[in-house]
Amino acid sequence: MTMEFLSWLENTEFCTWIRGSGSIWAYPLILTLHTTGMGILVGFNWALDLRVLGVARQIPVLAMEKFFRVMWIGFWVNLITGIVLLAADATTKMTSWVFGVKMLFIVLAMIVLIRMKKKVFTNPGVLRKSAGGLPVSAGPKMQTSRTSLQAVVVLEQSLDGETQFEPANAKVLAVLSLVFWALAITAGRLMAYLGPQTGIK
Amino acid sequence: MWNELLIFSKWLETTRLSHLMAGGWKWGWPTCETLHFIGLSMLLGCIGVVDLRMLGVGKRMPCAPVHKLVPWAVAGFLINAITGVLFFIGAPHQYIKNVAFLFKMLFLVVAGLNILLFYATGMLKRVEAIGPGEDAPTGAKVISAVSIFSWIMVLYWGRMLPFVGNAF
Repeated sequence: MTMEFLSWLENTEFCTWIRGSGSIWAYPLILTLHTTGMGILVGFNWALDLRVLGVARQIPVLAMEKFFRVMWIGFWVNLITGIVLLAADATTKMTSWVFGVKMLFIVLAMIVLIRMKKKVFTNPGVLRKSAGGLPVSAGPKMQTSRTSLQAVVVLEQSLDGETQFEPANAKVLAVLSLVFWALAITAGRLMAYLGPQTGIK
Repeated sequence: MWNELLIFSKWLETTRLSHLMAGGWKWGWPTCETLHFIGLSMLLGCIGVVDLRMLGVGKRMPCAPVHKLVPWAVAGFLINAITGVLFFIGAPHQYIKNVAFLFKMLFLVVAGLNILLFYATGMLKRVEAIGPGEDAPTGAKVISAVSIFSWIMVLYWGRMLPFVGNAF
């Protein structure tokens, strides 16, 4: 990618409008959506991390799977608004090392999120292992009347939430998730103070 | 009242803390901004899980343990209250004349009264009895919807500060 392309990109009619029109529907709206998406993606991810680390451990962790959809909404909102914000300030942002650091931590945090989903929510091995320690009488009866996933949720609740659900590994992922997102937010904020700047916040 | 606010703001600007925030300590403002965004995410995420559960998302969760996330939302709020006050001390004039700041405070009050309503009407007790798969009462759903809306409005008007009233 050459400087000419970036320069062309940020001087397209659309990008000029986003950056310089002063319209409340241009830069301010995109930026607000970007902040809201951040709050949703990072916030819900943090709530999940806290649960995996043992906060509110009576929440059946599998029931939190629904929030992955919420997190993905936040992700897509931020990918789209992020591309617009990047295009509008392309020559500066693409040459900023702080922006690079931000992208690095976002990619790492998303990899951790996907690993977490695999580990805690869709890895049948983990589920079987957790159900294995239960009284034999309780196991099969439940599994005939419900799907195995629901059975595990019910069993988990019957254990009064004291789950051995999350392997130590999942806790490591949770800590990494907390840290990577905090660093991504920090780098994102510091883009206005470190590295090349155009004064656009 | 307005005059008192102006005098108070003028006095604030003479304080050492104000000088530090306004550039005396180069990293004061950026550090607080970063913490403000981290607090925002904690608040929105933790209160979001609670509110969405009451609205029916992730209904397999019983409500009582979900409310154990509230202290973490409060922690996020406290981070933001402290850093927010520091912003105000650093540059009071850019806020007191800013209509976006007024709206932000307004929705902060709405969000606060909404929480007060939740606890004062005994809604918490009713909600904590809700088991997995059960619906929350309509009143709780209304409070949850108002909560999500008002916090996003707080965020929106906060983000508008530089654009509506030239705050930085």
